[in-house]
Parts: sequence; C-alpha cells; structure tokens
Amino acid sequence: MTAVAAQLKREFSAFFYSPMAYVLLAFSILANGITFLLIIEFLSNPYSPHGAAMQTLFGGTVFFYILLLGSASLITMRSLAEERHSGTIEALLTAPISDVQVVLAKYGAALAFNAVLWLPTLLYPAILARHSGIDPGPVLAGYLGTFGIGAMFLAIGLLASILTRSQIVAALLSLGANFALFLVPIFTFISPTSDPGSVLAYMNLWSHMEDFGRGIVDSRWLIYYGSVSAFALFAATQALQARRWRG
Amino acid sequence: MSGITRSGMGLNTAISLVGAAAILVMVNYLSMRHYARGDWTAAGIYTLSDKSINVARALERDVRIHAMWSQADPRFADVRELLEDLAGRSRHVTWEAVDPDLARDRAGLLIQRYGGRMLTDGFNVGYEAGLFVVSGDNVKFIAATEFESVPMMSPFGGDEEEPAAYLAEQKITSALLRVTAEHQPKVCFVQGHGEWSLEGMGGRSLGHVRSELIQDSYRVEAFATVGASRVPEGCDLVVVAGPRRALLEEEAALLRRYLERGGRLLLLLDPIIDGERFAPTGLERLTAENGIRLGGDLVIEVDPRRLVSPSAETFLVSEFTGHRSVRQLSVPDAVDPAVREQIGAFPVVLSSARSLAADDEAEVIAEPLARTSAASWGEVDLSFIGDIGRPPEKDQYDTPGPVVVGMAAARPDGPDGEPGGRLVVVGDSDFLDHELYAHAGFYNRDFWSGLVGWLTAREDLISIAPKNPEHVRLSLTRDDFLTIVMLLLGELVLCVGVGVAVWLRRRS
Repeated sequence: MTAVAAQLKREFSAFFYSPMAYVLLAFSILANGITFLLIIEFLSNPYSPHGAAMQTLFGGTVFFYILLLGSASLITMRSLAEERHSGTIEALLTAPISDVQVVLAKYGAALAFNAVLWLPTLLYPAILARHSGIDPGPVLAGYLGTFGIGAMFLAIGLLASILTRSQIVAALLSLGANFALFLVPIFTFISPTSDPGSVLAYMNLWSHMEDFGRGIVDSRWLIYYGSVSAFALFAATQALQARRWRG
Repeated sequence: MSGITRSGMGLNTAISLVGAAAILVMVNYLSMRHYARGDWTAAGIYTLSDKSINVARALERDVRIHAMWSQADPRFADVRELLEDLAGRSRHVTWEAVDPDLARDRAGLLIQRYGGRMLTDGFNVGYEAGLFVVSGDNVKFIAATEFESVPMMSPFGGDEEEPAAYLAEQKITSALLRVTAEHQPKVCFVQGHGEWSLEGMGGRSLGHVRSELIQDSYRVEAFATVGASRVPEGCDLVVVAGPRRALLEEEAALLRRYLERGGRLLLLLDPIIDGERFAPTGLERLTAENGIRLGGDLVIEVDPRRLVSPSAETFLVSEFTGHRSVRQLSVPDAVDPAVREQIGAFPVVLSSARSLAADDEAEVIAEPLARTSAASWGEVDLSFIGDIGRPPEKDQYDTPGPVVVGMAAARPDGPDGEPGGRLVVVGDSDFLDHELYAHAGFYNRDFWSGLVGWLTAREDLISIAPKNPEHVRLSLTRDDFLTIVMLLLGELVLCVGVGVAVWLRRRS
C-alpha cells in the first residue's frame, strides 16, 4: 500500500503542474457558478414548488453532464496513453510496483482530482444555509451520486487510456463510451410507458441523479457504478499485464 | 516469450475478461431484484409510514395503479417514489406510468374505461393528471392537485407562511383501503320532479358527477320516490338535486323516515319560480324539523368582484365556515382580514339560489356552511323579472345580506348508539352545471366532494401525518446578491491566479 500511496501522491501532484488542471477547474467553477445563480433565482421566487434546494446542481442542467463527461476524458487521457507515447511506461513497468497497484494509484489520483473539481461547490450549501434552512441529506446524497458517476466515467477513461498511445484517441474513446452510457435515457424517454424494472431504466443516469438530488440513495445505482468501475479497472489491469508480456 | 505462450496468455486474458463481465452482469442482475432505497431527507418524505406498509402488506386483492401523468412534471418524481416503494412492499400492488403527451392512445383508453376528470379554463379542455387506483370494479381517482395542501399565510400575519403539506402517502394509502373495501357506498339520486338527470353531459344532466362518483368508488343509482314506501336498500346517501316540482307529503315522509333512521340526505333546492311567485318544494317541514328554514327568495349579488356575468343572480361565494364539509375551502378565522383579502379565497359559483336560515325552534341545531357578501340580499319581489332592463332593488321586505346559502345538520345518535342522520341543504343546484363544475378557476367540484365526503363519513379512511417537504425561500437584498456573486467570482479568480502562477513558475 505504501507503493500505491507514493505513486498516487506523485500522480495527484502531477495534475497541478499542468495548465489543463486549472482550465478544467475554472470551467467547473464557472459552470457550477452559473447553475448556482439559477438556483438562487429559483429559490427567490415565492411560487416555486417545494423540493431539495440544491437539486438543480446535481444533474438538473446540461452543465453537470458536460463537466462529468469532459473532465473524465481530460483527467484520464494522459494517465497511461502519454506514458506509452513518451516511453516512460517501461520505467513504470519495471518499478517495484505491480500492475494492479499502478492502476489503483492512477485511478485514486484521478478520483482525488475529480473531488477537487467539486470542492468549490461546497460554498453553495454554506451560502444557502446562511440565508435559510437547508436539508443536508439531499446535498450529501447529491455529492454521493456525482462522485459515483464520476468514478465510473474515470474508470472507463483509464481503460481507454491504456488501450492507445495517443491522448486524443484515448480522450475520444473515453468520451464515446461514457457518452453512450449517458445516452441510455434517450431510449427510455421515447418509450410511451415506462416499465420501472427494465434494464434501460436501471442504467438511466438521469433518473439516478434525480433520485440522488432529491435525497434518495438507492443501492442499485451505487452497485452499478461500483461494478462497472471495478470491471473497467480489472480490464485496464489485464491490458497493462498484456502490454508487459507482449513486450 | 514464445508464440504459444503469448497465445496462452492472450486466451487467459480473454477468459478473465469474459468471466469478469459475467460477474458484472450477475451482480447487477441481483442488484436489480434485491435493493434498498435510503431516504436521506430530514422530513423522511419518501419513506412510507408503518401504517402504509401495514396496509400494503395486508392487501388480499390485487390493486393496479395507473399514473396518468406527464413524466416532465416534477411532481411525478415524488409520487413515483411512493408507488415504487408500495409495489415493493406488496405483490398485490402493481403500477404503470402513462404519459398522456407520449402515449395518447393508452391515456385515451384509461379515460374511456375509468372516466377522466375534465378541466376547462373556458377555452381549452383537458384532463387532470392523477392516479387511477383500481381493484376489480372499484376505482378511485386521485387528482394531482390533491397531493399537496396549499400553503396558508400564518394567522399572525406578516410574511410567514405555513409550509405546504405533502399528502401523497395519505391519499394513496386511503385509496388502497377504499378500492379494496368490501362495502362500496351507494349514492342514490331522486328523480321524478324535474331534478337533474344522471345521464348525459349537457343541459341539466349530471353525467360528469356520476362519472366522478364512480371514480371515487361510489355506486350510483337513480330512484323515484313517487309510489315508493322506502328508500332503496343500501343507499348511503340520498340526493335531491334541483327539483322543479314540489314533492308530495308522502315522498317527504319517506325521506324523513330515512333521515331519522340514520340516513344521509343532500338537498339542493333552487327557488322554484312560478310566474312571479315562489312555489314550495314540499320539503319545508322536513328541513325546518332539522333546524333549517328555506328562504322564499332569490339571492341577488351586486358586489362586482363577485359577479362572473352581467346577471346578478350568478355569483361567487367565498365565505365558507370551518365545518368539516367545507373546511378545505375556508380561510381560518384567526387570519387578519387584510391578510384574508390578500390570500384570496376558493370561489364557488352559484346561480339562481335561495337563502337559508337557522330555525331556532328545532331541536336539531344546524350550522351554516357558506355565506354571500354583505352587498347581497334575498329578493322576495320577483316583479323585476318581467321588466326587461329593470334591476332588482333592495327593500325592507328582502332578506338582508350576507345570506346563508348552505347549511348542515347532524342529528343525535340513536339510543343504541347507531349514528344519527346527517342533512345538508344548499339553496342552489346549478353549481353542478358541467361548465362550472369543471372550470379550473372555480371550486365547485371541491364544494360538492366535500359535502358528499362529510355526509358519507368518507373523509380519508386513514390518517397519516402529512410531511413537510423542504421549501427553501430566499429573500436576498441587493447587497446579499452582490456578495454571493463576488464570492463566486473570487473562486474563479483564485483558480485562474494559481494556474497562472504555476504556469509562470514552470516557464522560469
């Protein structure tokens, strides 16, 4: 675990030496800030219906999904693809750290950076709480859902990154796969009657975030994100191992 | 590494991936069937109470819930949550969502089969969103508007507002009980004296009322009192809706016996005008015995805020008392009159109505339900009717306003504890007119359903404390708003600043 922690720390720090991190952070602050101003306008309207105050932030606007999809691709595109391109992957593979540990370290660093992207939004519930009572349950649930989906997208992005030398291709692969998961709700939306038990309903990220935003934490969605993430990380580890014995 | 070894390794990798994929599918399949949903809201608004869980588990008959609701409506997400939970608690409960915008045919079939609740604003006609709760032949329709109580201004005035109460769980659980109950109450309409007909939708017909009673799990029957010796078996409520001819003494006696034996009677008695005089209804003695005197007059309203047409005989009534049958239409007495004026009211339209008054000599004490404005009166001189262009004028013979237009009386329980009869008299039946009844701006439907509900003692069959959902309200000053914007910009500037600093450092 020490090796993983050390590698994770190194990977995490490396993010902040790149301008991309700050561009991503700035975009996140801007997009979420605009959404928060919409929330304030909504809550200032005496005729607005009841509901969780921060629900709009968690999947209520297109900004949310653009941020998750875009950040997952950008964070992970250089994880392993750049190392392959620049040749540093050989040093990584010969270091006293297993393939599993490499993948976990890079994944952990990506998760941590993704969390940093959402840190500035902690200001919003603090502002609302200062002016009015706010139920913390839906806020916590909203963050849980956001990190869950983010974790899944990042794992898929990491897998895409190991499959190619090109960062651009890695980003596109990641974006494509995650976008396909994002688009599943389109098929449930055009269905005139909804069967709650259907596979498409199970994979509907929009309705997942609707639940989380309202304060409902469903074990199905968490298991979905966790299992897909685990599979993607396993596949990434296998791909890394294959790289090793292919030479 | 040899080719054979590479192939073996490749096969091993492929098998591992297939195995992992199989595990992924299996885990999610099991997760779909066995899951838990946590309600992290402080009010627990998505958590079913023990009462509802027990009701669901105790069901022995299948119940199907058809949610005819636009999926774009944000209210539906909350209802869906409750329906999913209920369905998870009982194998007898199933449900489907039917979006009328996307599945018009399916929605049309539901409306055709169970009847829809029509809404109109005078120009457009639509059907109200809601749930059809069905078990066998029993149907209960819950309109979307019933799921949340309207927030009221605090009796203490100011800007405080009592929060809206979320009533969905109570409504749905009550509906489950209602449609699976062994006994479905029967409403019997008297015919034979020019009353409103139960068939059809236009003119003096109550087809729409009949349809909604059936949706509310009532059975409906028409019967003639002429030549009858008793009210038909099983009538839980008898309605006399707008007779145009007087009932005979023996018909009134039949209704009196029914009432004295614990029956429930609803009399909608317009003034019967014969030329320039008022004709009797034949029910004057029956109502007087129960504390209600029928006025021999025609209510005239001259307050322009209460008129819906040039006719002074068609007007809005918005002063309702706290009686249980009309409580949902009343504004609490403790509310400051200025605040009451601000709140507005829940107007019910009456047309060609008579006044009512308490009969102090009766042993039964009747309570008023609704009053007109102080500017109105009960006109006893009908000579103005023949003079075109001559408005009625108030004089000392008329009944001064505000006049009472609805009253209710509850007879005492019998010596053996059997419940006493209940009587409601309204001085008008035209409020049941289809256009007035279905108009979205009027509360005629609510008035009718409140009267029927009280008379049949069928307020919600179960009491579940309503939940108060989160309802954040912000009252920001200009400075507050600017401070927030500055904070958000500050975050952005800080991020950009640190990014530029790192970039410059890397360059150097």
